[in-house]
Amino acid sequence: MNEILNLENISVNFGGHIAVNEVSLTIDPGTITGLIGPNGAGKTTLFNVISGLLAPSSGRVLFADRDITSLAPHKRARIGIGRTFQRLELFNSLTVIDNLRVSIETSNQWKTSREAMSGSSMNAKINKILDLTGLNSVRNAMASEIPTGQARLVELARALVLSPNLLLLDEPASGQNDEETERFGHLLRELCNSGISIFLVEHDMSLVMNACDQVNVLDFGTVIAKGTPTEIQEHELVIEAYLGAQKR
Amino acid sequence: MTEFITFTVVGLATGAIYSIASAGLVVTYTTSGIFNFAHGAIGMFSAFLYWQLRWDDGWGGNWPAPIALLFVLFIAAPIIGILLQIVVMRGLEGTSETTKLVIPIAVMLAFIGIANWVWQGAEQRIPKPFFGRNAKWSIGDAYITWHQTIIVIVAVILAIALRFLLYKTKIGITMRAVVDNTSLVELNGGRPSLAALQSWAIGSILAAVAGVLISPLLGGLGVLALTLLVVNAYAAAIFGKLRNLPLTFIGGLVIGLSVSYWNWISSTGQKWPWLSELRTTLPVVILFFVLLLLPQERLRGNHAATIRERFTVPTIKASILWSSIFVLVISGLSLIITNKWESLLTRGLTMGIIALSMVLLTGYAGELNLAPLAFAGIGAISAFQFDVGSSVETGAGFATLIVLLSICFGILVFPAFGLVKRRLFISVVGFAFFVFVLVVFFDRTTGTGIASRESMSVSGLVVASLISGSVGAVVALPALRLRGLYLGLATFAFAIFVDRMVYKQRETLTFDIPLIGDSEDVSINLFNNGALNIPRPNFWGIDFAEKQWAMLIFVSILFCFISVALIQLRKSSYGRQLTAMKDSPAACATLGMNMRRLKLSVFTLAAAIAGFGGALHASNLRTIQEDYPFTIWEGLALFMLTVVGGIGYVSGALFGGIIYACAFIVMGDFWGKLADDWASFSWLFTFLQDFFLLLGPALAGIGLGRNPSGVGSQIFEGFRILRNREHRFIVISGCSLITLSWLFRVVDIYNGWVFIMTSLPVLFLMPLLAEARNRDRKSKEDLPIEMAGIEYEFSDEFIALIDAELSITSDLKADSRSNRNE
Repeated sequence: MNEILNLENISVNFGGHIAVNEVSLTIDPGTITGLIGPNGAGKTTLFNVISGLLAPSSGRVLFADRDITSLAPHKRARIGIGRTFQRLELFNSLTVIDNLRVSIETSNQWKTSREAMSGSSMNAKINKILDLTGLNSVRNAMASEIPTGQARLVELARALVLSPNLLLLDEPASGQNDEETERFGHLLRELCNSGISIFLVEHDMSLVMNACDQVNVLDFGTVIAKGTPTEIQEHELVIEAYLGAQKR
Repeated sequence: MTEFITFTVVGLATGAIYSIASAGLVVTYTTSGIFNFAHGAIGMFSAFLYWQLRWDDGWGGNWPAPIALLFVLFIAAPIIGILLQIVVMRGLEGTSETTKLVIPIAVMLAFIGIANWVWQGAEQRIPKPFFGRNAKWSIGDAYITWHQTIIVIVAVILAIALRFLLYKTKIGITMRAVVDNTSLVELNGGRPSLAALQSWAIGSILAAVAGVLISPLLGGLGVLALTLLVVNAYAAAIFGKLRNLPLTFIGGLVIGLSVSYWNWISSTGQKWPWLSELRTTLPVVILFFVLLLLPQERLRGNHAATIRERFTVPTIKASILWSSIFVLVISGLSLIITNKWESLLTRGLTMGIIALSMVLLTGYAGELNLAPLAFAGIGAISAFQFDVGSSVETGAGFATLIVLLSICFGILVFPAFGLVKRRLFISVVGFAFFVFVLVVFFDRTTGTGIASRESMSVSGLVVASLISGSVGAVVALPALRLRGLYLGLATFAFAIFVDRMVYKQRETLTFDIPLIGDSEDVSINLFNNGALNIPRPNFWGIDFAEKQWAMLIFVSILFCFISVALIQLRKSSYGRQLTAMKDSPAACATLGMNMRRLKLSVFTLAAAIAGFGGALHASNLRTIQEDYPFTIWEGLALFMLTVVGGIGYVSGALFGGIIYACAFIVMGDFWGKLADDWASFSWLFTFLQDFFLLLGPALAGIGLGRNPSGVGSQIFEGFRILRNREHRFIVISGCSLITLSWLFRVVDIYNGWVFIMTSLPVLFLMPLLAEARNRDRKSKEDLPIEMAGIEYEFSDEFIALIDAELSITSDLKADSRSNRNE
């Protein structure tokens, strides 16, 4: 089975500061892969490189074996890379349902006329995703007025509308309470079962350890460990750099 | 060689002045994040002040040069800078990008207003260079004046001093640290507010130095010319990306030398006559291209802006209802107001149509355009050329041009509405065919020589929109990657370009359309001799030239039509995409949105609306001149007032247009009339008249530009309370009173003033009364429960309410009663 995402020796320099240093990692299709690491480890920078908002200083990004390193962000979205943001990037002047509409209408524009959806099928898809993410009760609320936990779900729903193959989730559980996080873990599994590969940056260790198939640990811009959650939990470097503090 | 040395020295001297001025811009920008549009105006003001102290025979006058210099540079200028920082700029932290641009623009207009007020009259004010005109020395045969020498020496000293200040002194290090992280500076015992004050004082001094040094090179002092000269320094500041001082200095020199060498090559504009104005335009052309070459900014979210600006969108039903009411009110007014007022109101509405272009572009899509009136001007010129001015070999030539333009317009705009492939093809062809039919059959633009129509045709208006839309696309195309301030500056550069290269163009341009007619199919004299006479329309048997009231109603209908269309657009898929782009470009990109296409289409559409409004405005005025009404200054004022009105709403455009075109003129007139009638107080009334005319718009901008949702919407918000059914009585009686007053005016029982004095108070009392009623009722509701029986009646209704709150059901009550009985 070929990887859906393959990062080859990605480095990012900001002036003299090396934010990401020679990172190589892969994501298998239909899996949930976690990316953890202390603040400032370079996780969001790596997400920006994958989604095209930031050009790497060196290295290649391969998506389903295709080199997309120099592809514009909107074109990456069109080939199936969706994402959410650590700092919420909702369309605050629009309602929740309109946030999703922008997404589906945009996707309709780049589809061929045969693939394009009719108005009713667009609505049906939006409703289905609102149900799935449990956002039906706030569908007509302004995006700026809903609590952070739900706002993160709106970002997720907005990305889901595009039917992505790979979903990059940047701290989706922050701002959610324990119960919401648990529900969120189930949702991720459900999405994964439906064939979406998920790359997850998260600080909530219970979510990462329960939901992920594979976990990568980033520290000071370098991958210091890879493996299953159990392997990671016992990895010496990780305990030292990151999890150690929590265990104690 | 002598010429080379002479032109190099001239170039170095002007370049050095640009460097000084731009260094001032950089210093304030790096410490406050505000691009000080008023920088040039401060330089201008200082130059005037210096002239006043040094040479005028009136107040001040005849001070020795060193004392006058000391006063202007080290007392007046820093005070101006410090006051500006404390009174105006300090409050801009955390506001949206538009506000950060609008307030300095308002300050600039205020300085221009003050200078025009203080230094009125056509008196020639000619400052002398240092040590007189004849103080010069020579290299070979080339003479160099002492003034030029001093300029270069001052620039070098300032460059070294600034470098030393910013990198070697505590003040400088604090100033630079403030840029990186204000709160960290505070935590480390630094005082960011003091650093900001210092930087504004230094910036202001540098502007003053530039103003004083450049004024003798100009011949005579001119308010606008001096302000714009320092605007040339913007390009130098952009050279250094608004941060890097050494690059900024180099940029200044490059601009100064380019202009000087261009003068040399073109024999000071003698050669290539249609490029003659390039010598004054070159700096902004450089500005435009430097902006384009800047490294592309990374796509980001738009947190700061979205927090404070929030615009709600009215429903289509409401917008149609309000539009109908508006047209009805305007029609009613046209029966009772004089021709002059009709004309003023029409002006306000045509300006409102131009302002609608900014609602679409800036309000909906979040893209700045500081050249709305440049596009309006292009529209007006296009309509003129189509209907009156140009001479055309064949009418078919025009038809071909128009069809090509409409195809181009369709291709630019339609895809953004989701039309692709076959649908796009059909709609573009359909649109082109529609325009073709309109031009050829409806307006009969065929045969030879269609020029010299006596009225404006429908085709003329369509052509105005198509041409200015296409120009909008041409300007936007290279500027697509720019956002915020940089986009604002690029459009500002374009506005200055149009001001000089188009409005001042006196050459006849000829074009050949391939396959049609002989060579030179179209010859256009772009701006005749500094004035264009644009005819009024004449449709459906109505002669708009004769009937100002008809023009007023026609324009109000058009305003409403475009407004409703814009609201519909905002509610469509296209409008949602624009809003999304404004809220978060980064998120849009990750949803697969092609923002370049979207931006290009919205720019084209907005420019087309501006062009349409411009043609109407010009037609209403009948004549436009090179310096009125479509200049850069008027454009900035209109932009500012639309922001004041609320750039996210069509009501903001209405407010901006009307205030811009009528309100201050009417207020000025009012005080002027009082000054005539009451001679003993004429000094006061003349003062007030000048105040409103010269400073009104600027002060409105400074005072109200910070309100993120605008004054217009707030006024509407105030009236919203009347929609409640329980206030129907107030609405009906208020409207009846106003109608009655209107009727009295119609049958001439009293004059216009009495009508205003009776109807306006009623209008504004209605929401106040409704609010008072609401408050009264609410205060009763808010009374604590303990006050039942004291402040209000202990009624059955109240008991039922308490029961419901405590979940006491009737069964429970019955139980308790029976228990008690037992």
